[in-house]
Amino acid sequence: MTTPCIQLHQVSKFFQSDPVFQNLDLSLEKGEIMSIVGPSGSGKTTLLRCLAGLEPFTEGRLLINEKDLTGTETNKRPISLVFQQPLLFPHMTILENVAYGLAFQNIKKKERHPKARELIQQVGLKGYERSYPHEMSGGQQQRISLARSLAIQPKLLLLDEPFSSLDVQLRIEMRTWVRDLLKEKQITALFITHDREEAMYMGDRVGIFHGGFQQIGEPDEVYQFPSTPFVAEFFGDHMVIDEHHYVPVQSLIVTTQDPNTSQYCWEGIVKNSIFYHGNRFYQMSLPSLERNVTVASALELKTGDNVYVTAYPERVNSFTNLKSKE
Amino acid sequence: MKSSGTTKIWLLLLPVFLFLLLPAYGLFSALWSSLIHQGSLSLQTYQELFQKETFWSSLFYSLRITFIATGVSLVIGLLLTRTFYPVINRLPGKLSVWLPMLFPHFVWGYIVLLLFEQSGLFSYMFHHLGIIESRESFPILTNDQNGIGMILTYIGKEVPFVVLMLLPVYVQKNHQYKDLVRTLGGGRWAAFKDAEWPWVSPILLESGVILFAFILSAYEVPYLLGATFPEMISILTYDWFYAGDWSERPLAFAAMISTSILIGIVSWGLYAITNRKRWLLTKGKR
Repeated sequence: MTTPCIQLHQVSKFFQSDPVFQNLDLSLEKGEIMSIVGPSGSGKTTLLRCLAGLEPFTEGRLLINEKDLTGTETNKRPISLVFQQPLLFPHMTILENVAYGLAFQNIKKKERHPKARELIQQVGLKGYERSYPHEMSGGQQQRISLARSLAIQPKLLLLDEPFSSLDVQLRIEMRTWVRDLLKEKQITALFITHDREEAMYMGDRVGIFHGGFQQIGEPDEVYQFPSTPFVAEFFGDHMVIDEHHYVPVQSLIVTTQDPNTSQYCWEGIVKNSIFYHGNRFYQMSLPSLERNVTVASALELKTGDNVYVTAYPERVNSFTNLKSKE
Repeated sequence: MKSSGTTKIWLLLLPVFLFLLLPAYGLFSALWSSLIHQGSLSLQTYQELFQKETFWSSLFYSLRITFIATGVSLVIGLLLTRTFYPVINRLPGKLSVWLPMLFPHFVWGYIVLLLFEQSGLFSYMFHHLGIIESRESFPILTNDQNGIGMILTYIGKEVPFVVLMLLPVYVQKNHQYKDLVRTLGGGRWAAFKDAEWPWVSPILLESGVILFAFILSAYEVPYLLGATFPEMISILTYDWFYAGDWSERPLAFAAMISTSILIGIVSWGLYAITNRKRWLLTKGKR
């Protein structure tokens, strides 16, 4: 096996004495895209800023192609960052914006513009070279921003919720398109988002982040076999029964009459109902577990109805990190 | 619809026109007086003015003082704002910048006089500390030929003005642009040049134009702190205006009109250069 392109060894970040994350290890293969997903305030943006060099790691090392870059200044790192907002220079044309970073790489003026033109074409905006950012839509601006970050040929591309300022429809189009482009160009990338669907789609692997990695793995694996209660609730569609057990919500059964099983049956109250993809879902609260759960059911229920929620014992799982410890 | 919109704009502009009535009347009557020579319209007064050595030396002297005072105020104001804007933006900081704005220029001039005169506070202190032998060996900084006293007064008074003009730019600016430049490989200079200067320069220039116009034609500070020779253009004009008989009044008017035209040309030129960029920057606000 080849040495990973990007390696993080035991990195930590403290603000004063408060840890943001501690002792992280991570490695990425060349051309791999990894999503980092977590709730806001979980420290994922701080991790990205540390990788870019905008903030120092308190401890640990960052290696790119086995070269230690921990103490290297931001502008000397082969890492570029796509921000939440496009941040295009309003007084520069699209061509000047995309060519911007090339000036710092000692590339001759004559060669910068052809390179930038090629990238503008790759992001599908040929013909807009002489336009100004204010003439472009939000999605187009973010594509130019991506082209500008790719122009300097980074060894690692960081994307910090780049679609968060776009509307839902555009987000879906953009993520397909960006993933295809990154794969085509074999770019190693870290993609940050708080949207689990986006994380699953974009990443070859996903890392669930909450003050550190809770679990890293392929999207399917993490979705189906969460290793901690946090992952089960945040990333998967599971109901956490206790700190050791969970059950996938699609295997829960709703009845109006007591099924008379003592194990894995809870009383519930219907809160409201919604339709999704043609199916009716009920949101209900389970007072004994102190949880809310959304379950599909063909039953005709009204808000306030008392119901029973049951799980088959064979569908109840233990968290993966517990299994390995056992 | 359109006509009612236009009417509304004219109505809104009405107070401005009323307010401008007085200075506009002054300007036109000055122009008129400078163009009448022995009862008929002619450029005779201007020809006479432009042949006067005193006019040119006074004008160049005024321009020199104005450029130095304006330039230094802008640089100090810029450095102060970009370093301390988070502090200045809080109430005590804002008050400390607002307070000097409340004093008229001549009060500030008196303060400079009291501090920097040969018989002033600083010469007294230096003498008592043994740094200078006698109070007369303190350098002449007020009513001096180089206009240092005037420049000091203007710097003290205008720096807070520059800070107040620049403060909103620094407070509202998107500071992520700097991070962006760094991640794209740019150093500190590039971060300033591309992520800060384009936003700051139009406002800095605007402040510069205001200061230029004001300092070039202001009267009270040169009156308090200027030397007998060379004179600032405002003093020269005043002397002509109140000279024994009224024979030099047309010259005073012509000198004032010339100064106004100069200020007009400089302002228009600088606005024209930066207009396009300013427009693009306002478009870029999202």
